[in-house]
Amino acid sequence: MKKTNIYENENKNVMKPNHNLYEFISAAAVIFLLFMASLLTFAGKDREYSENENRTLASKPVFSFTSITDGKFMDDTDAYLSDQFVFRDALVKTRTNIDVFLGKREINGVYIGKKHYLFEEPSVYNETRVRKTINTMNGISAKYGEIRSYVALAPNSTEIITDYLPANAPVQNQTEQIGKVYSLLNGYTCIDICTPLKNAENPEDLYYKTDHHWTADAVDIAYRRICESMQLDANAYQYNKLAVTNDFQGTLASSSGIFSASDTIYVPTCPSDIMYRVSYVNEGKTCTTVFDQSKLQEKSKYDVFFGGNFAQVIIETNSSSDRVLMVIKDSYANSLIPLLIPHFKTIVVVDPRYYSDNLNQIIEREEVTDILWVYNANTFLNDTSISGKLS
Amino acid sequence: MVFSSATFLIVFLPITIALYYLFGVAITKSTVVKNFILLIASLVFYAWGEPVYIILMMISICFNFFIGKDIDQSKRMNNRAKAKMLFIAAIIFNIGVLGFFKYSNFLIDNITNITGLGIRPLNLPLPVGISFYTFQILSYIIDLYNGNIRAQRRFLSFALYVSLFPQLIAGPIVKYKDIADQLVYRKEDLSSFSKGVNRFVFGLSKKLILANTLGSVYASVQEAGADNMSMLTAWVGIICYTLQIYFDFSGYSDMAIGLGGMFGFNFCENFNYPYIAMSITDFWRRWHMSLSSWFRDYVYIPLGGNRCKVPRVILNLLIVWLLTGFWHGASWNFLLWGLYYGILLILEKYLLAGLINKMPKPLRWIITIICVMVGWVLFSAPSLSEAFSYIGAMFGYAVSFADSFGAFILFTNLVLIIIGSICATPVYAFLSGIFKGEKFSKIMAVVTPVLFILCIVFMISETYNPFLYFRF
Amino acid sequence: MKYKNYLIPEILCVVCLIGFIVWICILSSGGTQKSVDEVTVPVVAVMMQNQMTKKTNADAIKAFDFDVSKIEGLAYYSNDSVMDVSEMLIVKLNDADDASEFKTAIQNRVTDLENTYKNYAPDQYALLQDCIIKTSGNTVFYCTAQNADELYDAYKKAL
Repeated sequence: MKKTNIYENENKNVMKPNHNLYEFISAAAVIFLLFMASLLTFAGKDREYSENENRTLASKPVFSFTSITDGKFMDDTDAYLSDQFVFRDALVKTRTNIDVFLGKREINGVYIGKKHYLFEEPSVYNETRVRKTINTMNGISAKYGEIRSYVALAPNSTEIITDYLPANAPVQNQTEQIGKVYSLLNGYTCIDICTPLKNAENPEDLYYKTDHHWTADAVDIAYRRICESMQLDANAYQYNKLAVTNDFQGTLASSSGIFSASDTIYVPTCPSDIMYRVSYVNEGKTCTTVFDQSKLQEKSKYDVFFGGNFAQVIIETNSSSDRVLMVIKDSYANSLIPLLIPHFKTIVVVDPRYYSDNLNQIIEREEVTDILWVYNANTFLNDTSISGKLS
Repeated sequence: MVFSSATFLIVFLPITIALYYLFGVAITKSTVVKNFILLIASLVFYAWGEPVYIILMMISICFNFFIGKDIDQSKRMNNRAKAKMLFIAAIIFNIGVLGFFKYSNFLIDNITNITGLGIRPLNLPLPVGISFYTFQILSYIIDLYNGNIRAQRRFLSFALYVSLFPQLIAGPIVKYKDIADQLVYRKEDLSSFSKGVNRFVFGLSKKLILANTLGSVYASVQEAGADNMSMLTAWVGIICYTLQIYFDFSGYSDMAIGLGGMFGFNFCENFNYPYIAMSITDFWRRWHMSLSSWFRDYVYIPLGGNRCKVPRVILNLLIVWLLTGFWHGASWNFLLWGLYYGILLILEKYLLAGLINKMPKPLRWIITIICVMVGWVLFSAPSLSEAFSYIGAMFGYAVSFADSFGAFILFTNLVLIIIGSICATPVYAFLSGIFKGEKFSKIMAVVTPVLFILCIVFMISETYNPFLYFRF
Repeated sequence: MKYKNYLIPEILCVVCLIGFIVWICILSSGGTQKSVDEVTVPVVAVMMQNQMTKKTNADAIKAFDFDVSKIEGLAYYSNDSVMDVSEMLIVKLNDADDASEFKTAIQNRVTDLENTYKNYAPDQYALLQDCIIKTSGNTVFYCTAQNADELYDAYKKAL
């Protein structure tokens, strides 16, 4: 039978080795590794928690009729075996090293820059999302016209430490993004943080190498800029920087799995004549410092500021000022607020992501005189929690 | 279950090998016991991914087993009318099941679009592997009816043929006539076992080390969207996808062939370096060969093949290629993809044959590979409009030449792309020619276990999922 | 040669196939004529004490961004605390064709919540990842809770 020329196949054997002995040796090695991986994984004790990944590892799946028929049992088994796989952490680390060695410069949304600098992949400007946030913000400034309202959006490290970005890294022009947001706001004094940070002498000191937050140096610049806009005297109170840890490996290190560098965290010391009391409203906790030293023993060392993020924190001071400030913020503000304490009678700190009620309540209850929004551009552009927080 | 999962590698495979060799090969030496162990393993393997649809496969196996015997019997009794009737019934049954589970949503959607009737789509999930095992069953039924083979008398052997786990969910499509003898008698020896293990590791490496990493590059390009894509991005993306789909699919075939070897089976080859093809005709002689040969034997030749007048041959080719496209999935993309290849092949056969032969080889290769890449855009895009805007971006329609994203993904993945491109050529045969004989085997004896370790590294690291609850 | 009759097993297989297809279609479609309240009562009975409280329809529409005109009735329960993401929603639609749209809306909310809790409260994040979103005909069920499986079973029975 004559075959059509479209389909003429020649089945060539792809592997044509002649030396059975060596073939056998490599096959034996593979089979040995296979059985060893299996034995060691099952013989090993289940780990409950992974220090590296900061999460509870999957445990033995539950066997039941429904979990079988809807496939949950199978998915759980896969997750369980992968999580408990022998030498898991070492395997993951090897992978990261291979990736970086082969030239990869983006892992899990983290850019791997020069001199151990890691960068968070910047957010894109989502028109509808930003519009919703802006509507709420404008609603507040319109409703409380007598309150002085300020917005300070901070750029992220991709905008400032441009020299250490990996070549060609796709970044967003955050100065432009922030400008766009500012142009949509009504009734706010918009504070330009980008320019002074860009003009700083050592831009590489403004952000942590391994974390997406800004450092004390950047906070100092932003603080002076904010004081200018809010008519506060930044030089009225002197503070010192105190290094509290130098082995901080932050979120970007964890996300990418690259733990090649560590950062130092500095906290500002408060002028000695200023006393204050901090109340965590939802937690019903009160203390006399905004620093939580216990967090320095943990992985999340940036939480030394305020101990993390809370829905509502009220700071009452013995300052001679009669202004009441409300800070609506993300975690960038946590390291900034300590510097603002001496300037206000009361500071109410609200994190809309964890505060579920309307903002009106607090504004009216605390008789707020100033509102300051502090966000970093990435979080602000992705935020969905501000919209709808006004009744 | 997929071969590249922890469950398969450290639970299913060791247990199956141990049981098979302990009870099947060492203790009883009986093919029935071996087949029984493999059948149970295969059913567990399938049920792991499709705990409900395994019932469908069992029904299909039973029906075809009985009707196969019936057809055989009728033929032997010279009852042609009955054989024909049974044959048609079997075809309707199998095509019906495949059509219902794979194509009903597509048909209903399109009927609704055209007529405006409000028929509700069933939205049934597609049973994994149904296209593959249905085609295997059809090869059995058709060959039986044509008198090329005898019916399988043992239910166990037939059930194993349909459900054999190495090729169950992604091929190669093994024809019954090629494997009938091995179902009854096969001898496992050290050499075929070792070859199988090595082949399996190669396949696993293609899938885990190359396909998955290249795939993530393409995924990031797709995420960026065709709207704001540069020419450079589009090309980097499609090159990565072109390599990904080859390593994914041929890696799976390698693993299937390797696993078959471990259990004494000898499956047909499925790929023969398709990306070194010098024409589209050549490409399809090298890509998914078991599928093309299935369509050749059971559709193209019965339609008359190319022993008819030219218009009829063209019609035959178009039918075969539309079906080939449709086999890959129930959407217009796949139909168009099939039609695209049908037209290219017809052009090559009747219009361009002389021209192509005159072209210098590098030019022929470049034209072929570009045609293949354009094909992959049709194949991979979620919708036709997205496919067209992607193709537009590739050829500079309304997009910039290059942007930083394109440069970034190109340079940060360049090594990977180069390694992938090299591995898509017959580099293995080339190297074994350079390092004559034993030396190469020695090197491979070290390289293969290292590759296996790398596979595990890549497999486990894909589940790295750090929590950053101190993030904000 | 003796002639064996295979007709009976063949027909049996076809009957099985038809049975299977009917079963799987029923399994994947479903729907109910009962009112949302009737379906909700037995589900609420399974809830743990203080696990969730009833919310108004307006709350649900605000939270999920639903198109009100497509809804026949709904029941929405959730926990009042920010630190507890437990919630349960049953929504019955006028037209089963809209179910996928509502499923997407619910999925979007879950994604938003996941983003909020991902790096903040891993246990709550884990609950969200294991949430159940199921459509049966004209009714969509969604639940994030420790005992989501139990609630879903109760809902299934109540349909």
